Amino acid sequence: MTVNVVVALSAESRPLVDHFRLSEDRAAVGFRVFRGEEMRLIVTGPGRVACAAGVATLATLATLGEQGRDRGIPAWLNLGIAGHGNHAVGEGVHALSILEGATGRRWYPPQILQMPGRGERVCTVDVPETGYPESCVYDMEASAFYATALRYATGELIQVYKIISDNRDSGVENVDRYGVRDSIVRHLPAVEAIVTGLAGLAGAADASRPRLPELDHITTRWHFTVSQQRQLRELLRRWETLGGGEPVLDADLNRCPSAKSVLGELSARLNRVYEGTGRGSIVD
Amino acid sequence: MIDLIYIEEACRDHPRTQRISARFPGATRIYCTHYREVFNPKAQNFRIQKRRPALILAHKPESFVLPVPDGYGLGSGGNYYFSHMLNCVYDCRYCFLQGMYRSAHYVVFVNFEDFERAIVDRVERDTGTEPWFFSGYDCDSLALEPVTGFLASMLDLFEGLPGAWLEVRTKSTQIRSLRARSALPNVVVAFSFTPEAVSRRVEHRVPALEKRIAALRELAERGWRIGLRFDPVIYDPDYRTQYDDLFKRVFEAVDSVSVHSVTLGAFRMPKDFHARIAGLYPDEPLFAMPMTEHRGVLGYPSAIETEMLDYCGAGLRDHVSEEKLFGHEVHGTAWRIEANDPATG
Repeated sequence: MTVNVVVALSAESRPLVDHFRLSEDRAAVGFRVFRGEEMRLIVTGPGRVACAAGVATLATLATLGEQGRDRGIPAWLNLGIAGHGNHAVGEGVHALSILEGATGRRWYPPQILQMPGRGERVCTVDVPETGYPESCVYDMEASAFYATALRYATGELIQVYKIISDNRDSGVENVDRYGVRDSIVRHLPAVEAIVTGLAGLAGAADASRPRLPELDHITTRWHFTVSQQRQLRELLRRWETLGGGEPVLDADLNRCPSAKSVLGELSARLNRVYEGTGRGSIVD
Repeated sequence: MIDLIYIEEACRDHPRTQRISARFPGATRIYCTHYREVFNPKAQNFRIQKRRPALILAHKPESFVLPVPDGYGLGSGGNYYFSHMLNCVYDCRYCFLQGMYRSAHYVVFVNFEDFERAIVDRVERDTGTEPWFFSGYDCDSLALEPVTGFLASMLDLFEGLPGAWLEVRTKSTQIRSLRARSALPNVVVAFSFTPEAVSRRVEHRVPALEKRIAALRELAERGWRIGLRFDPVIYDPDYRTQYDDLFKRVFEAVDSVSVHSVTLGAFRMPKDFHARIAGLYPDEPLFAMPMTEHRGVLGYPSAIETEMLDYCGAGLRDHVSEEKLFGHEVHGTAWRIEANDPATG
């Protein structure tokens, strides 16, 4: 399964591009996008607006650029630097909750994965926070990332991992691109663990998508209206479960003169599970 | 078992919050304004969350005791249900909770005292009748009892409410709070059963049938009134043999004198819940079977449903008298509810 990684800064992306052997997608417009076998990465620039646009762009690119290649349900990871009043520079944290400072909205990313690092409340602000008034991790993208990614995936597959770059002892003025890059490099094992975990979880989510191997063939052979296609998908899903591995497209179905009669034949076939066919067992 | 606890700010200082929370010293605590912020968002996957459900400790502000849906009651008085908890530690594939809630986290409402007050108020308003109160509609009544202690507090309450009935529905073998006291005449401990082969296939994390029957036997021997809930009845080509075996094993364990009531109900599911669960488990045979709709509820085709309920009903009549038998079906009305009243009969 693919993991979509969203970073704000180019310095955050470099170690990831190298480690995961990603190559740049030159067709991408507006953002730098990198792709690998199991990962896509976008560099959005800092701030909520840029991040939301980046997430939407990556989701769209994924759909448009990979037609015909089913990579399943993607997971999403926001990775980057953040500040905290007390935590040590270089410490990794994951978001248990996200508060958007500008709106007061809150999110609670479901914690199904055992994420590395301390679990923290992340407060997303629009300008760098230098006073650290609350005991939370201050960043500039997490709320927009999470809220936008929720349009494309279920919450369990969307996580935020931050590396502390500044605190009361070492302010944001001390953060430079080299330090950012080094921080990411030191956390590559944690990132690797998150990516692997998210991919596994996405695989589990993907298992709930029905596989309908004969759908394309049937919809090519007969013309189905939109409503009939919906019915066909549902009947095929049920046949895949109850049909005992038998192909649906047999001589009887091939004799059907129309889409309507195909649906009728499939319904009748399914109804026969109650007629002592041996199918319909839920204990096998 | 629990390594993540969400706690509503409003109840963080409630003694029960602190007591329950203290049972999980290693758990991460996350404070939230309202449990719905965590529990209700749409973009959640019940199936994935079942891998690592969190505990949510919350305060329920209202609607502590609600009337049961038509056809689901016992007795001629009022029939009410209450839910101190949302969601279940078990993972039964036929359970409507998967279709009702987006989240699989366990919500425990810690303000038991408000539930108790509402029950007392209801009993006072229903004076002259014998109202029934059902626990276990949105959760299993006993499965999390060692953590919540809810049943223990309810038993204390109903001991002082002899005119009211409490039904505690469960698949659990956590019977310590019942074992710890004398049987109460107005409390029915109702065990839900499906045949062993079905249970193994679709009742994930539920104690083995043998262990539940042992718990049932022990409670009956201790004088507790027993409810037997063969609901939902699940179709399988071999259902006759499966239910014959189940009835034989259950009624070997419990004397029919101890049996307060037996209910039989065919598998049924609101249409939108069914669609949602089929989306979560597209390869689950239970949700691939042809169903028919009756007033927004999906169930087995009428002929199959009738055949199964008739067969199982006949099997049950070999073991218990007619007046203890109740049933629900999708395509007809609930049967024998009005005619037979175990509360008074």
